[in-house]
This record gives sequence, C-alpha cells and structure tokens, in this order.
Amino acid sequence: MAETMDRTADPGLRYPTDEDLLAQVLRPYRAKNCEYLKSAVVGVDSGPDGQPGVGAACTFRIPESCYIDDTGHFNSVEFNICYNQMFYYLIAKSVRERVLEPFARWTMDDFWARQLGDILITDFRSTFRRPMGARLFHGEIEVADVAEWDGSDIRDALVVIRTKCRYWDDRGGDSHGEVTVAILNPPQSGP
Amino acid sequence: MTDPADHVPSAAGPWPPAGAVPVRTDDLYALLDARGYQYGSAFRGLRAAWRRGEEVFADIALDGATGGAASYLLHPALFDGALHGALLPSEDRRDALLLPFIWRGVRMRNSGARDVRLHLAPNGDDAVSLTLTDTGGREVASVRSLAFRPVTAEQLDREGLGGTLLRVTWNPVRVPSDDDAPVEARWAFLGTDHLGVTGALKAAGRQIGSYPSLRDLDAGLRAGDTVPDIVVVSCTDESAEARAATQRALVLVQEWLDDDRLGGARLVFVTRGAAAARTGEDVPDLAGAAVWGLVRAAQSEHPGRFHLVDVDDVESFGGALVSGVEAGEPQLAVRDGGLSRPRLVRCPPGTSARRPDTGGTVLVTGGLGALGALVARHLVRRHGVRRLMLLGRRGPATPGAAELAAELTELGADVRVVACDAADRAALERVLASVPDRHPLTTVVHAAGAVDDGTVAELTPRKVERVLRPKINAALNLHELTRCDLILFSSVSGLIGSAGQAAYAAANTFLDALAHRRRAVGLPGVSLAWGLWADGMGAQLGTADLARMRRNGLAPISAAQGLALLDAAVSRTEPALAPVRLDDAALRDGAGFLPDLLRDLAAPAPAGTPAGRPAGAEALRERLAGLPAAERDAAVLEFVRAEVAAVLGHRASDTVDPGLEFREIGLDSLTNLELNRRLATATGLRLPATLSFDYPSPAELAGHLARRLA
Repeated sequence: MAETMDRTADPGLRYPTDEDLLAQVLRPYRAKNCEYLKSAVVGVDSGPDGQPGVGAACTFRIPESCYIDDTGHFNSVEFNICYNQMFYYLIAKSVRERVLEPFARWTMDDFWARQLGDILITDFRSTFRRPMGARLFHGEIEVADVAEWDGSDIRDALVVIRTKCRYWDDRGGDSHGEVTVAILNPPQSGP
Repeated sequence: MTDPADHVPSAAGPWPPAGAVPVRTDDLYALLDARGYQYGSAFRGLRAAWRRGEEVFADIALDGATGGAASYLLHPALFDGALHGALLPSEDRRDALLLPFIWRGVRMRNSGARDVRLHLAPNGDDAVSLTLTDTGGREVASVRSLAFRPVTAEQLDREGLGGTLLRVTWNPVRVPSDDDAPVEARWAFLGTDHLGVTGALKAAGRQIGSYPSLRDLDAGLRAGDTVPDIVVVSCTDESAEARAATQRALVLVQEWLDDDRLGGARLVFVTRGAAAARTGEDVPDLAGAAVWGLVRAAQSEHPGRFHLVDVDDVESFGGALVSGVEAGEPQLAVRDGGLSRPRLVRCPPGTSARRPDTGGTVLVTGGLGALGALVARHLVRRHGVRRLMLLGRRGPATPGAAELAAELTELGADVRVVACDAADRAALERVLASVPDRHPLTTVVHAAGAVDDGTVAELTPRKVERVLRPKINAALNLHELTRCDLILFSSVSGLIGSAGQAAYAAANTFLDALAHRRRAVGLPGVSLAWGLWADGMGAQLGTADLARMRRNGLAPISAAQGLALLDAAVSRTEPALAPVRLDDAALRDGAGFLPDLLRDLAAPAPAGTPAGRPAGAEALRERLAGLPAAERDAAVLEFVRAEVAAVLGHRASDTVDPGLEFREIGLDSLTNLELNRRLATATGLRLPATLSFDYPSPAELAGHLARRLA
C-alpha cells in the first residue's frame, strides 16, 4: 500500500480537500464528534491497463470516540467509520471531477441519492500491525478495481469496488485493510 | 547400397545432348521452397537443366563454401541436388510433394566429384533412372530405379513433426434408467425460461421450484425452502449478445461459488443451438457458445458444480436432460431425445490439398504479434503469397513491425502494415475497402487475441471485455464484411476449459461456433482451436502453467509443428479443428485428471459410461491406515508437499518448505485452487475453497488433513 501510494515518481493529478464537498459528505453523521475525516487529497495517476489509479491521502482526528469511552487506541470500529468517510468522499469527488468510470458519468444527485441506502460493504478485512493513537493520524484509500455488472433477469445492475486502505500515525502505529463495496441501483449507463 | 551387378548406361557424349531444350532454373529453389522443399544454400546445387521429351539433363555443382568432397564417395549435397532434377516444375504431378520412396540398383563408381552431370529418364510409373557423370564423362554414380511417392503436407505434419489434428465428436451416452437412480434429486429453475425448460422438466416427472432471480432464490432459502440439488438456468436468449450472456453466466458461477448455502447444489446451464452436436449442424446461438467456454473453465476449476446441456427444439428433451444431469455428466447435448457428450478425437487422414490463391491479398489480424508474424512468413515462404496486409492495433509503430515487413519484402512479398483494431467495424471497413481490385482478398487469418488470466471467481466484466473484444468483435466484423476464406485462430482452452482462462475460453468457443455458422451460411472458413504455441503466449508461461498444461495431456507446439498443422488443417473440410501436440505420457499418467474432452484420447472408456471420479482416495486412506500412528503425520505431510510440488511443476517435493506460507512458496489463486482440487480428489474429502487460507502452510494443512483422515 505504502509503495503503491507513493506519488513521488509520477505526481499525476491532485485535487486538494474540497471543504464544501467534505461537509456535505459528512452531513449524514449524527454528531460532530463522528466527523473524523479532516482532509482528503484525491490523486489520479496512470494505473495498470490504462485505467486511472485513483486514491485519496487523508488526515483524521478523533478527539473522543463517538461510541465508547477512551480505549487509548484506534480500534476496528473506528477503522470502519474512517473507511466509510474516506470512501464516500473519494466517490463524491470522483463524480464531481469526472475522474473514474463509471462515476464520471454520474451526477452529484445520483451520488447523494445513493450515498446511504445503496452503498454497502460486502467484504471487510482489517489488520492491526502496531497500536495507533487515535487523536491525529493519516489514512489512505486506493481503488484496486471497479467492476460494473450489467443488470439481467437474474440480478440487478451492480457496481463493485475493491479498495485497499491504510492508517498510520507519527509514532509507528500502523493498520491496513482490504474492503469491497457494492453500489446497488447504479444510474443507467449511457447509450 | 552399391550393387556392381547392375549396369546403367553412361551419359557420355556432347553436353548438353543434342535436342535438349534449356529449362529455366533461376527461380527453381524459390518455387520448391513454396511447395515445401526448404533447401539451405549448400543444398541448392542444381545450376542448369535441359529437357528432351521426358528425359532431364542437369548440371549439379557443390557450393563453393561446401568443402570436403574428397572425403565422400559422393557428397550428400551433390547427390541431393541430382534429385532436384526430378522436381523441375513441369515434371511435377500438379503441386504434390514428392519424396524418394524406393531405391533400386544404386552404384558408386568414382569418388570425390565436385561437379556432376545428371541424366534422368523415366523408368515405369512414378519412377526414374539417374546417371551422374563427371565433366569428363566418367560415371560417378547411377540409380537404376528410384520411385517417388506423393506425400500430402498433412502426412508430413502428422507423421514427421509430432503435432496432431483433433476434432470434436459427440458420442452417445447411455445413463442408468430412472429406476436405478438412488434418490430423486430436487430440481429448481432460476431466471427467465426462454426455452420452455420448466415445462420439459415437469413433463419428465420432476417437481420443480422456480425462482425468477437470485434475489428470489435468496428470499426462498431464507424463508426455509429446501436447498435444491439441481438448479437450471436457460442461457439462450435471441436478444442477448455474447458479452451480456457471458457476464450473466459469470454472475451465476460466482454466486454459486460464494454462497455457502448452495455448496451442495449443482447449476445447469441450458442452451439451444450453441453446439454443433451433429455433423454440419448450424450453431445459431453464438452467445450461448461463449457461455459454454466460460462454464467449461468453471467446471475445470470447480468440478462437480456446473453442467452444460445444449438441447434441440424437440419437446421431449426434458427426460434426457434429467437423466444425463442426474447421472453427473458435465457436458451434454440432447438431440431427438438422445444424449451425447463431446470428445476430442484424432482426425482421419485428409484428402484434398488446398493452397492459398497466391494471386490475391491475404490479411492477417494480429499480424505483428509473435504468432501472426510466424504465419505471415510461412504464407510467403511456403505458399508463395505475394500480397499481405498485416493488421495490428499499433500498426507500423509495433516493435519489430519494420523488420518483419523488410524481411517479407526481401522474400518477394508486397507487404502493408496497417494500424487497425479489427474490432472497430468502421476502421476495418476502411482497411478492407483499400484492398486493390486487381488482388482481391482471398484469405483472412484472424490471429489477434488477448489473455487476462484469473480464476473465474476473480473475473470482472472489464477483464472479460478485454479478452472478448479483440477476439469476437473482430471475428464477427470479419465474418460479416468478407466472403473469402476466414481462418479463425481459436484456442483449445475453449474446448478443454482451461482453469484460470474462463474469459479466454468463452472467446474461443465463440470463434469455433462462428466458423460453424459461417459454413452453415455457405461461406468458407475454419476455426483452429490451437494448443499452446511455444513461441506465442507460451513464451510467457511459468513452470506451474506448463506443468498444468502437461497434466491436461498437452505439450507446447513448436513453430514448425504449428505451421505444419496449419497447412494440414486448412486443407481439410471440417469447420472447426483443434491442432495440438499431445503429450502421450501425460495422457496415460493423468487419465483421472484429464479434461473431459481429452479422456477418450488416453484410454478409451467403455462406451456410454458417465464420467467418474478417480478412485485414489481409498488407496491413500489404506496406505495411511497401514502405517504406525507415529509415521502417519509425516506421510500426510509428504503427500501434501508432493501435491504442492506437482501443482507448481517442481520435480521434487523437497523444494517445498513445509513451514513457509503457500504464498511464499509461490502459490497464487489459480494454483491454490488446483491444489485444493487435487487434495479433495486424492483424499475424498470435501474441502472448502478457503482451505489454504485457513491452513496457510504445508505443515498446517497436513496437520488438518491428518486429523480429518484419521
């Protein structure tokens, strides 16, 4: 992950944190203390097979957990919440900047209409190498593959996105994961 | 070899003899080359020739660089050159290849000659006498009678070079009658019933549940429905393109592998008109044919989970479908209520020899790839093709394109290298419109293709598209836009269902079906389901891939073998053939693991018995049971290491470190799958797909197996 996210060789395109968009993406979160994602720079590089490599470099702050007393470390529930926020933002930004198919064909309304009900995690793996403080840390998400499945009599259309993610802090804390997300009811593709 | 009792008159006298007419020889070797006699420069010794009636006179000389004449009775190049007098164009029996067959009365007189004169005269049917004299008129050697036999390119290729031409035949299958069936299976239908399958199954006496979609199946199972033993989907839908049909089949396969509740359920893909189960049968359902390729690969990766059945439009297909599937046959056709299954068999000897029309233009897609370049050279050198269009997506910018064009031009061909994606119909139309009227298109070789390997569980629509597009879109365009001979380069992976190549298999069964289609509508063409070329994609394969291929009973085809097979194949009349190189030892050794279509090549199974599972599991258990308890664990570990080594193509199991993780040993998703399959077969245990993740090293896996086998 760290290697693949190293942009030094090929800086590609960088989209700095879009504060308005970030605020909109985080709007469904019930309380201010659930808004962990503070910044997200979306990067687009040339990926394998001519597909763009899309990811986001993020920072997070969890002054206090939104659901449990202080455990003293970044735990798997927070891993998941942080992941959701990175993912929502990355897709929203991909729609807005038209950087990744099929989201380049979506409207923002398409995204807002699906953000909660139609975006589901189908596979979630997290690994915690070294405990990490949760106060201030970094995160990365990278899209490994987007599969657009057409609808048929046996199953409705579906977009499946495989991603990798990683979190770390400045004191050696490190965790990473692989998450697959399904988007149901995608907007009809073009002609 | 020498026989002093025989005497052949000397050719002494004026040279050339009175009445002999000069014969043009400056292009002799180019002509012979095109006919299949490829002589190197040292053997191009015939310098001048004359004809007088049926007699031939010729000067033969050793090449200046070829020394050592003194150390031979008669230098082989000189002797061989003398035989070329028998191959002068007008002496030729049309364009047959002639090979020396019976020698009689061979006599050597004077050794050490560098220049000889040949006198050749007819001596009975298909035989000649030869006399060689030196420039002073002294006899050097003579042959009283040399008989030639015509040989077809196919005979040469089959007998001389080790390749084999196979074709698919559909053999009748007899299954046990209904009364013998142990327990009646529970059947269900999934999806839209385009073919009237539910009615046919009901008519065959099966109560059948029906689920319009996967969501409905899921809801039914959650609500307490009993999991069906056999679920049927219809895969022929006239409005569906190959892309949609393969994607739908892929969804079903992946769902079947993902959903643990369906672990004991078999899924039956039913098509109509997707297989040519009878000679000359049309294959109108090209999309269904692609589904066959994809599902065959899924069958190889996950034996016992999937079935393919192609039915006709006779209403009574239900009974045969039920009995065939319940008997466990993975691939079936139902015709007039009878069952048959596909098998690859050796082609009988061919008859007519067909050669490309050298006056026209030959177009090769993928013509700048390794295989396309081999074919292009062959067409020019061997068949005398003089006008070639080589298509590649990058055209002249393709690395090596300029060198290839220069080489072919040097050989006398007019070569155009064109940047064209044949899958782009408009672009292809423009290229075809540029073919000059004087030299119309006579043959198209569609050799373009792409692979994107991965297990069927890992495939995505994009990966499938990447493989389908260059193969099938281009093939369809070529089929629709041309009326000339269309030679489609397909792959045997579609027939045998190569594990890890489900998309590629789908693309290739589509091509095979398209060739049947083309012939059914009266246009010429053939699909060649190649085994792996050593110089093509084979060049990129690793040890594990090659080992897997060998276990399938196949060996890589060398360039010479492939080109010989190409000539043999295009001279036949079948719409689809499989030129391969069989590995006889692997066929014999691996009989239990062979792909279904190759089984009859190993040891013909008794006619009509359904495919069975190898009976190795009992042997393993017995062997373990015979060991002291303390040695059993070590024996199981050794067994696991041997299986890992086999999957990776290693000769010895001591290369497999029992403590390392499988990933570190070099197993990927495909080899993991294969290991799983082999272990399941050898132990008789049902093993989960996650086995090597749950027990990630040989030692841990062996411990687990030892406990389960105890």
